[in-house]
Amino acid sequence: MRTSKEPSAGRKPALCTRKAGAVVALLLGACLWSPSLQAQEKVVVFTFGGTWLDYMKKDIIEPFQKETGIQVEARVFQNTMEGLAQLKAQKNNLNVDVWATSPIPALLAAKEGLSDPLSASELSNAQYLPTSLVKPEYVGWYKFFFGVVYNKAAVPGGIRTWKDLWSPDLKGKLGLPTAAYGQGKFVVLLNWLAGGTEQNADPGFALVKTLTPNAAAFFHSDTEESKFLESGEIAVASFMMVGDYLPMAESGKYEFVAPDPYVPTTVDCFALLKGKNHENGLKFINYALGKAAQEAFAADGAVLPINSQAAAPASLAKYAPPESHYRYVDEGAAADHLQGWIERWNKEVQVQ
Amino acid sequence: MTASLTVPFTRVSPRLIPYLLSIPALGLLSILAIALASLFAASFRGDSGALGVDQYRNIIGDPTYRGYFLKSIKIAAYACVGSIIFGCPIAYYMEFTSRSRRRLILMFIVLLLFSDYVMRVYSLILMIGNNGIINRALLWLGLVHEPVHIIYSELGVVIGLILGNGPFMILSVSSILGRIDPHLGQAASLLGAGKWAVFFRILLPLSAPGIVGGSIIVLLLSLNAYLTPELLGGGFVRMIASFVYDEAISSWNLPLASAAAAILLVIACIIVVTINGFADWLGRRIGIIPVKR
Repeated sequence: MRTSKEPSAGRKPALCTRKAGAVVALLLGACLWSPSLQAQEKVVVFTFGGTWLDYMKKDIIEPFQKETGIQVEARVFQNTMEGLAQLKAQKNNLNVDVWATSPIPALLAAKEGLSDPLSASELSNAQYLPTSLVKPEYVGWYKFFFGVVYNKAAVPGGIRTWKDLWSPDLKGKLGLPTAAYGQGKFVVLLNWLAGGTEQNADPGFALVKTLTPNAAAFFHSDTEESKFLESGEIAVASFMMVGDYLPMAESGKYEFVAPDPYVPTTVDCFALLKGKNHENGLKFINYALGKAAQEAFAADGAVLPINSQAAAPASLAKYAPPESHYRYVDEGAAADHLQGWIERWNKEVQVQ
Repeated sequence: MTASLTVPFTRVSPRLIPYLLSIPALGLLSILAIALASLFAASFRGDSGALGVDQYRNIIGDPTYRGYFLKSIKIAAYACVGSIIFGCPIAYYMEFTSRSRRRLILMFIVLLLFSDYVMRVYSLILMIGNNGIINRALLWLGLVHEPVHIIYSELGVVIGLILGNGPFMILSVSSILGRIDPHLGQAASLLGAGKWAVFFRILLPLSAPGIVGGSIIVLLLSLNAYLTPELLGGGFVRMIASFVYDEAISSWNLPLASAAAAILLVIACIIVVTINGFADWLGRRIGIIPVKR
């Protein structure tokens, strides 16, 4: 038995509906297919996830959307090198415009032909940045430094210099980073301490072998480092960003030190990828470098703004060392040697 | 309703229907085959870009790289033996306990399998970590003066793998035990066999296919483990999956990573073939598989 809703019973209305549906589908398809419409409306940003993305949404993405009307689509990666692998895999059809990353992956991306060169003339806020941080491969976003965080009860003598990490009292108490963590910044630090440079890692590798007896575990990420410390698996987090320390500062159990003689300092940055929304990408980067966005993001993320017009967050004042203590990593040299460092570290250092 | 379901196939020969239905599976298999082929192809790219077996030579000639493979095989073997030791008694208990208890244990195992793996591993850190419940209890009781080093070592990784993969052993053995005729044990008892004789001469041989199946699953999962050694190895226990990840992602050395992955695949195939061969031989020897004529 058929009802009036079945096809053969109502052929004309069904045909009309099909025609109308086809027209709507064509119109929709035309709208979606129009490249100019897409380019004007959005920018795709590839960024860190977690709280970083929350801060980014609140301090940069939402105000940017409100001011420009350009929609921001955020895509997330786990770590910058994994992000680079993802970008490389879609090299011939990149659907990402801006990459919030670190300098070394940005340099490697440029070598792979994944990014477009940036210039200060395209970014009005670049005039407020140090010239060394406006490069064709990337433009600096914010500055941060690494220090040591320790459990006050487990390390009653405290830590004041990097050399204190070698103390026999700290045997089996240190959390050390892997070579890949922070794109080799700890390897660079060890080299500096041993009198080496980014170009020659031998002194650093000789030095780290005297440190490993004090290691309880190696960490791959900021989160893992914090978890090791808070769960009591390690007593000393040997290489922590000050921003990661602030959430645990309230407990009063831990102390952050920017050890003598210097603290490794670096930036995170933006790279302009060969995506489909070049102009919107530039607008987004420029907005993120503006005074308001820099101050808001620095306050939430506990980092230092690099725009000279923007004030550093009050929460960091207590921990930030004098300007003379900051030592900047030669990112270009580090990028050239990172692969070798990781392989050598895995063979010589992370062994039991 | 039935008529509308058969409409798409009315003009197709019934003999073609199975082939048409297998198209999605063939598509998936093709993708897998292409992926594997590209993996093998990448592994033959040398450092200079020329084709050759340099990457395989690098791995085989380097004691550190060889060590990753040997360590992975050793840890996977420990995890497999551990899963048999802990898993089989649970499976046997499930078989011979009441239906309600069996359901309860099964529910627990399924929950364990479906719970988040990372959380399971972290819960283990809270249990056996340096500052975990066990160590705190030992310190509080004065039995030790400093925490016993359980995790961030091979032992920690093996414990994690048993916890993570052991349920597969239990389910595999349990499914075979469910198919054994309970009258066999009763008959043996009536003929004078003791409990141990019934277990060793009837139940164990008949449940061997389940143990073999479970062993293959646990071995392969443990051999490929990435998360467990990363979380419970504390950076000291590097298994082959960590090496492949580091080479592919951090060092960006895809040819070396591909060669390592290809070797791992070959090792996995050898393990499966060897275990199956051994199981067949054992089955024929103890009489649960007919001897080939």
